[in-house]
Order: sequence, then C-alpha cells, then structure tokens
Amino acid sequence: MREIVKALLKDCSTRDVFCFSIRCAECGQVWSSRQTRFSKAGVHPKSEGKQVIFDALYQKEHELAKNDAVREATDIFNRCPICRRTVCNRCFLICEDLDMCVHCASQLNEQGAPVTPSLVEMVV
Amino acid sequence: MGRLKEILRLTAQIKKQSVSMQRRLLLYWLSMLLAIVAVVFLILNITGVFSNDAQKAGETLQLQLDNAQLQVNQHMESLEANSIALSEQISRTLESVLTGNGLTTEDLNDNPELLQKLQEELLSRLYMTLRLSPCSGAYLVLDATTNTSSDKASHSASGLYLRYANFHAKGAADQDVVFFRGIPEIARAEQLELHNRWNLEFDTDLFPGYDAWMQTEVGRLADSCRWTGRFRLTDTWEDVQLLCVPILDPSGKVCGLCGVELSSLYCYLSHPELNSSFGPMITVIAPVEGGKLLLDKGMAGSADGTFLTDADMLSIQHGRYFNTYSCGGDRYIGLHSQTDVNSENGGLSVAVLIPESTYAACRDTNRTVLILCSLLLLAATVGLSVFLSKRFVQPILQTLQAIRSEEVTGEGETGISELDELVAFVSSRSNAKALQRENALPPDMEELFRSFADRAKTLSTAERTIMKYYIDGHEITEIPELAFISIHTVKKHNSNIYQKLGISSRDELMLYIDLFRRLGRLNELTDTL
Ligand SMILES: [Zn+2]
Ligand SMILES: [Zn+2]
Repeated sequence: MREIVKALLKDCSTRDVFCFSIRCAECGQVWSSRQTRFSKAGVHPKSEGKQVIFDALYQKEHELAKNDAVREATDIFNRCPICRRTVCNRCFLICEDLDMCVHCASQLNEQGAPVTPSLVEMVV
Repeated sequence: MGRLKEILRLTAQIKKQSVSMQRRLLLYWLSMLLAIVAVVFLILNITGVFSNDAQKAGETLQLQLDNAQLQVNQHMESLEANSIALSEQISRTLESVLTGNGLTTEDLNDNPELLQKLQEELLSRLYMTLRLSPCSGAYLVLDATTNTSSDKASHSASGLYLRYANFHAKGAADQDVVFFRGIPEIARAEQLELHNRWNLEFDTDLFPGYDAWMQTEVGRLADSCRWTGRFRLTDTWEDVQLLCVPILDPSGKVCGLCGVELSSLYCYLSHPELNSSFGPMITVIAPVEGGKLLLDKGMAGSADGTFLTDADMLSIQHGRYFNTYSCGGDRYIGLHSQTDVNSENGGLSVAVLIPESTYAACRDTNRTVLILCSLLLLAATVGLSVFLSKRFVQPILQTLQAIRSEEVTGEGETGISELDELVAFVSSRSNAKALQRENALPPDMEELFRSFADRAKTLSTAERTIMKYYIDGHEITEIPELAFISIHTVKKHNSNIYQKLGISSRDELMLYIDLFRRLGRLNELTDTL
C-alpha cells in the first residue's frame, strides 16, 4: 500500500515548506499531508559551501517528510480490488464478500457501508 | 532529564535481553580479578613499595644542594678574590711607607705615629673592600704593637676592623659602618662611629695558629687563603668566621693578616629556608669530620621551624636516596657535598637538611591517601562481585524452583540464554504432556469452544479474510500493506468481528485463536461451513 500511495503522492512542496497531496480517484477530494517547515527556511546560506549543505539537507528532510506523508495517507486511502483505483475511506465500502469502491459497488449491485461516513476525520 | 530517561529505557531493554551464561561468567571473573588486583595494590601500598617519596625527596634535596653549592662557591670565590686584592694593596702601601723612610716592619713596634700614618693610608682601601664584598666586616692586622712593654704585648697586634653596625638584611648599601678595631683618631677624622666594644688593637689569639702564620713562607696568596672556625667575637653576642689572607712585607715575609668577616647573622639572612613539599629546607655550611657534620664549627642558614641549633654535631648515616643526620633526638634527612673552601678545620661542606618529622608526616599522608584509594577500590570490586554473583545465581535458583513446582511459563524471563532454552524445552515438554492429557476437555470448556466456533461462522467473507491474517500471526499494522486497504478499514472490520464473536479486544481474539491452535481445531474457525 505504501508503494501505491508513494507513487500517487503529488509533491506540492515549496522552498520553505514540505507538503504532499493525493486526490481520491472517486470523489476527487484532494487530501494534503501535514505541512512541515524546512529547518533552514528563511536562512540565507553564507557561502557556496553552505548552499551545498543546505541543498543536501533539503533533500534529506524532503525525503523524511515524504515518508511521513505516505504513512499518513495509508491511514486514509484504499485500493479498490475491482477497478484498482485508489480511493478515500469515504468512497470505500465494507461489503459482505469483498470491500470495494462506491462506484464498483453500484455497478455490481453490492451493498456496503463506507469506512468513514462523514468528513470529520478527514483533512481536506 | 530526557537523556536520563533514554538511558534508563536502554538499560531496561538490555536487562530484558538474554545474555549468555559465558558472558556473565566472564564479567564475574573480571570483577574477581579486579578485586585481587585491588588487594595486591593495597598490600603494596601498606608496605610502602609503591611510594616514591624517598626518591622524590632525594631529588629535591639534590637539586637544592646543587644550587646551594654553586651559590656558596661563587660567594667564597668573590670574597677570596677581594681579600687577595686587599692584601696586595696593603703590601704596596707598606712598601711605599716603609722603604720610603728606610724602615722595616720591625720598626712599626712602639711607633704610634708610623702606625697611625699607615692606618690612615689603608682605611679607605679597607672601607672599599667592605663595601664591595658580600660580607659583614673587613679587617687587617699587622704583626706590630704600640707598646711592646705592655703585659699583653705578646698577643696584641695593631690593625683596622670595620663592621656593619646592625646588620639587618642582604645588600649592604644603606648599612652603617662602625669602627671596631684601630686608632680612634682615624675614626674621628673619617667620621666613623666607634663600636661600643671598640678596642685599639687585636687580640691575636682570635686567629688560630696566628704565630705559625707569621712564620710560614707563602708562595701564592691564593693558595694561602683559609677561613677560621666560627667563634664568638670578643665582648659581643655575634658569631663570626674570618677569611685570613697573609700580608707580605717588602722582603716577602708574612707580616700580618687581612680579609673579610662573615657573621652568623649574615649567613642566616643569605640562606633563607626554602619550603619544599617535604618541609622546610635548611642550608648548612660546615666541616664534615669523622662521619659528623660539625655545625658548631660552621654556619647555618635560616632554620626557623626546626630544632637545629648552631652547637649541634650531626652524625651522618648514608642512605640510598639521601642521608640521615641525627643529633640526640633530632633527626634530619639531607645531602651534603664538599666545597672548594679551606678552613682551619679542613674543607667545608654544604649540606641541605629537612627535618625528618615533616618528611615522615608528608610521606605518611601520601601513603594514607594511596591506602584509602586502594581500600575504596577493593570495597567497590568486592561489592561488584557480590552483586554480580547474586545476579548470576538468582535466576538459576528461581528457574530451578519454578521447574520443580512446574510453573514454567516458557517466556524468556531469566535473562540467561542457556537457561531460557532450558525453560523453553521444559515448558514445551510440559505443554505436550498437557495436550496429551487434554483430549477430554471439561464439558463447559467444550461448550465454550463450540459456541465460539458457531459464532465464527457468522463472519462475512471479508471479515474472515482479516481474521485469517491474525491467525497467520500478522500484526494489525501489517494488514494495510497486505490487503491494500487503509488502517481505518481494518479497524472497522475489527469492530464488526469483535461484535459478532462476542469479544471485546484483539487480545481476547488472539487468546481464542491460540487455544484453538493448541487443540488442533483451528480449521473450525477458518472453514466456512
Ligand atoms: Zn473519495
Ligand atoms: Zn472500484
């Protein structure tokens, strides 16, 4: 699941803030990860050497932030075993034999309850 | 604070981990070895083998002895050089005064006018010698007297003797010079104050072997310099030593003596005691004769805080690092060595002494500290040994007890890997036995299992898929990865499963799964019908 989420994760980081997002394939809601600041945000490197160090540091923190975002996203996204799309908890139904997305359930005439019925638990 | 917590957490974790018996034994033996080392260290300290205080004291003494010897030699050399120069100057003056008038030294007797004329000529030179030399007085004496008919004539001789009045410190620039011996008119003319024990002439008995001096043939003046022993200056409280250089008359015969004076006070002030780490160090300049340091014939530097007096004769015992000098109950440690200086008692030696009592106190303090340290080390290592052996034996005893009472749990809790293996073995065997015995379950238990299995049949396919993961030993956090669903989805299934099975937690679920597995009836949970 981590690999799937990681592949879908959209990088919307800026120079100072790391942020990633995923769009639900069903409802189209965009989920954004918790924003974390680059530890050297707003600090101007005093030399070219520092610039190189800052760049490397940015890469490292970016990677960590991405891992965190993946972890967060795996709490929320599921892969529909029928259509193979990645959908949010709201669009994913717990069914009798196989859990599936809302769309597939309606196509196949299956009944089920969404994992998360409301928007409360979701960061939109 | 956070760091401390982290450390505590780590130690707790380490404690939980099993350590092999071999490593524990190794630790145990190491602490034993350490304890033995501590005991040896302690014994060595008590016997004083480790102490290098004697060697250190010897080195300190040697260093100071070298310093003192250099200082004394330089001092004496400069005094001898100045006195020889004085003697030569007097000889020249004698020659010009006597031969100018067609006289010999014999004619000085009973001739006050001639003596006064001579002394007038010589005073300034003597004054200069006193001022320029590191000494406390300067004198010249001629083998002649103003009144040969006096009953003292045989040991009375005319001369000049200048001294510093009240010697109070080194560096004589501001000292008052007083007139101790000589013709008073000269003192008055030069505005020199007479000493309160002034005398016109010298008592030649002051100079040991004075008559012999007057008879000797002198080759080089430098070879004839000699110090007197220490003596009390007539009618005063002061002890002095005089450097004697012969004065030669125009015919080359000895006709008197001249030189400088060193008082005990001068010596006292110029050799202050030094503080060493072993106590006060005293410098002594005295002859050594027959294995004794003759302090009564020499001089000592400042000796405050010790019982050394200038009348002592110290017998010398040679040692490895230093000698011991004793006189009655007083003992000193020190070193001495011969100087180039001649005196009537033979060669003078310089000695550096430290009271043995302060040295011993210092040595004992050092030794006590070492002994205390090794005692502490011993206590610590013995404590460690006791602790380790307890830690080593306790789990074994506990496990034995547990095995005996058949309460083995099979969980790795002894902290010793070999024991854990044993426990695991024993418990698996007892489990096997229990299983063999189990075949007939109590009826109510059987009922419990059946109803649980019945309830398991009501699970949906999706829920059964999730439970299968648990049966296969997966953790809840692993399921999203395996099933490509979110953790929320897993939890939702969980709560449905618990509700249907009539349990309240995953632990309870796992307990049932474990029981079914042990009874070999897992298929009752997984099979759909
Ligand atoms: Zn959705
Ligand atoms: Zn679907």
